[in-house]
Amino acid sequence: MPNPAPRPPDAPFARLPSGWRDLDGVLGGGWPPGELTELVGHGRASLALAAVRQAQSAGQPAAWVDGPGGFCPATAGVDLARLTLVRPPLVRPLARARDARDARDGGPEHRARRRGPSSAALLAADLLLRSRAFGLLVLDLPLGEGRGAPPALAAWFRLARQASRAQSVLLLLGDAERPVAGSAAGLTLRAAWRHPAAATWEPLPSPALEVTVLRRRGDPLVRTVVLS
Amino acid sequence: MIACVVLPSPDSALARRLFAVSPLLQREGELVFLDDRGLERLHGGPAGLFAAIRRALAPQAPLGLALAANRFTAEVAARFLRRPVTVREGEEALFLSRLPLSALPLPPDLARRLLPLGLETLGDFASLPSAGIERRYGRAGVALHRLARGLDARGLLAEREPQELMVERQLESPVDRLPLLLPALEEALSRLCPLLSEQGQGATRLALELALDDVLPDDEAPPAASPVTAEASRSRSLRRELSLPDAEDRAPLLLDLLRLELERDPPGAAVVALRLQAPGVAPLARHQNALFGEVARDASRRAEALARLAALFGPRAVATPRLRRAHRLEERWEVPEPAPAPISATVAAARPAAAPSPPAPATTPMLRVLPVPEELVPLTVGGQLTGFRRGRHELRIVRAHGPRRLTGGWWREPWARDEYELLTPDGALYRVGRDLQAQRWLLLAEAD
Repeated sequence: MPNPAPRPPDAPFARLPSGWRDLDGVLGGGWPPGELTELVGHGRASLALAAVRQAQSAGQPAAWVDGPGGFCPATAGVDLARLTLVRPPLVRPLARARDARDARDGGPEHRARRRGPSSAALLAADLLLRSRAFGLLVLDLPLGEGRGAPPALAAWFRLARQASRAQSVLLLLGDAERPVAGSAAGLTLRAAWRHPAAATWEPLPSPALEVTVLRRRGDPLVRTVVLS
Repeated sequence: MIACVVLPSPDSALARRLFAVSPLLQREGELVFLDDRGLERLHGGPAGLFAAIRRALAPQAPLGLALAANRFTAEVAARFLRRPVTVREGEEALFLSRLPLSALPLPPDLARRLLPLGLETLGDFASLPSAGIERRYGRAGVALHRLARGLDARGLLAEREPQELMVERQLESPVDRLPLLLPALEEALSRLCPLLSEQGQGATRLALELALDDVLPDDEAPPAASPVTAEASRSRSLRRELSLPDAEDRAPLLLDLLRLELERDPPGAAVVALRLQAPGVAPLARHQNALFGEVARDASRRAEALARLAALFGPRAVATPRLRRAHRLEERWEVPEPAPAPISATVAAARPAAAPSPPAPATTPMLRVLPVPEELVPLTVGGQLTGFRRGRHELRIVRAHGPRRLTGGWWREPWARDEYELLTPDGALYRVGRDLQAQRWLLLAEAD
């Protein structure tokens, strides 16, 4: 019986350029596919938006799960027709008797509602990653003060595993102040706006974005780059 | 023999009725060609065939009806003669010879060159020598000359008879729980999906009609003022329609989507029968990766994920926002109502189109717009505004940019507001607005 020809390994997905050469240098070539990357601080969403533009330019399907409902399509500057924008519902009270019965029967949306405001967004991200059809997924979660406890660490590990299977770049925009994904994230960055000390604010000056590596598997812990 | 029927209008539903006469059928606008080979004993000759055609089209009547050995003769006979005509085999040239030259599909330039020759009938044109026709008018002239002589070798490009993509199922007893309804749905899908697959089609819209029992369980009797349930009970049927982003023929996936749809909004009464239809279909697209190149993302799996999310959270949760012109930032887009069958748009969107290269990334902050503007409490020192209180936090103003005055709604509800950009000590940038009507400060957006 003849030996079958060896199957060539799947070509790995390349790193997704961030759009800034300096940041790519820090990241080792771009956003890593197959890993959970957590972004904290003010400016994290702008980094994610730049990644969406880069993914669209490279022909990679991109998705944005907008948990807090704050994504502004009018100012995002991305091709909306090619961006999968998912707005999971926020928790609302179970008003009707039929809803209560569904909740008892355990419909998926109700299961998601019972688990907190970010669980619907997590469920959406999990579904999108399972499809393995997206090169980039931005998960924007309604976390922070007054928005309930963040999901358990196990949830982040599950998500990281899905990202690894899908070989997708997964950018998590969680709490603005502190990281929530812990060791499930292969890379954690903090962003901060640096406003120029202009004498007047007329016109409004463009700020610079300072990015610091808080956590990274393998490589040096702290490294800062200023993007402008 | 080929029959030609001239319909009163190019109505595809009317034309489809003629599948009852012959399984080999071709449509061309208001013309329908039928191949009656092998059907002589069924219909009993030309008169029986014509009667069968009239019966199939009743109460409408054909404008022309003819039977001939080839397509051209049948078409000309049906168009030019108002009574049913049968042109026997071998008599085509004789039949056509008396008809005017305009019966030929003459291109305008050829018509300009032929008419000055004094040719009036097809017979006049057919009597010209073939060699001379070829020399003067080329191959197009020869093809027309052959038609005028009653020679037409074209066959029929027969269509498939469209199958009704519908499955009905009567339940043995009323079912008031979803787990009990799922096997019936699964069975219905297992019959519907093969019908789609064998045509190479997938459903882009899937409609489920549930016939409801008019007796509601006592513990679930709705309040009298519940309009939706009252409507459902009165009509005793409920229709749910899934709008899928891409053509789909996989029964397990469709069952999952139907389950999610019914879980999201249950019928509210026991189900006694169901009908499953595919009102929208499109050709299936299969994904094929390159052998050695980078693995491409599967568009059909993307569509599947979106369909699941739409079933889970509602179609608006995955609808693409549409930009519109407005003064206020929060009104510059809208989420459209889900429209059925946007398949061309989604296929175009799914394709990794050659996008223009992205603009060089500038550090322009992304704005997070608050779904509902948040009221801020102004903090003043000596009458001077120094910051705002947002919940337990204080937003102290380091710098400010503005105001920009926006006004609108002059004919309905006039509004006016001044907008500012504020920088706080931690480097955060906010957009706040002062509602000039209500004299309130609102947090509109946050740069992130």
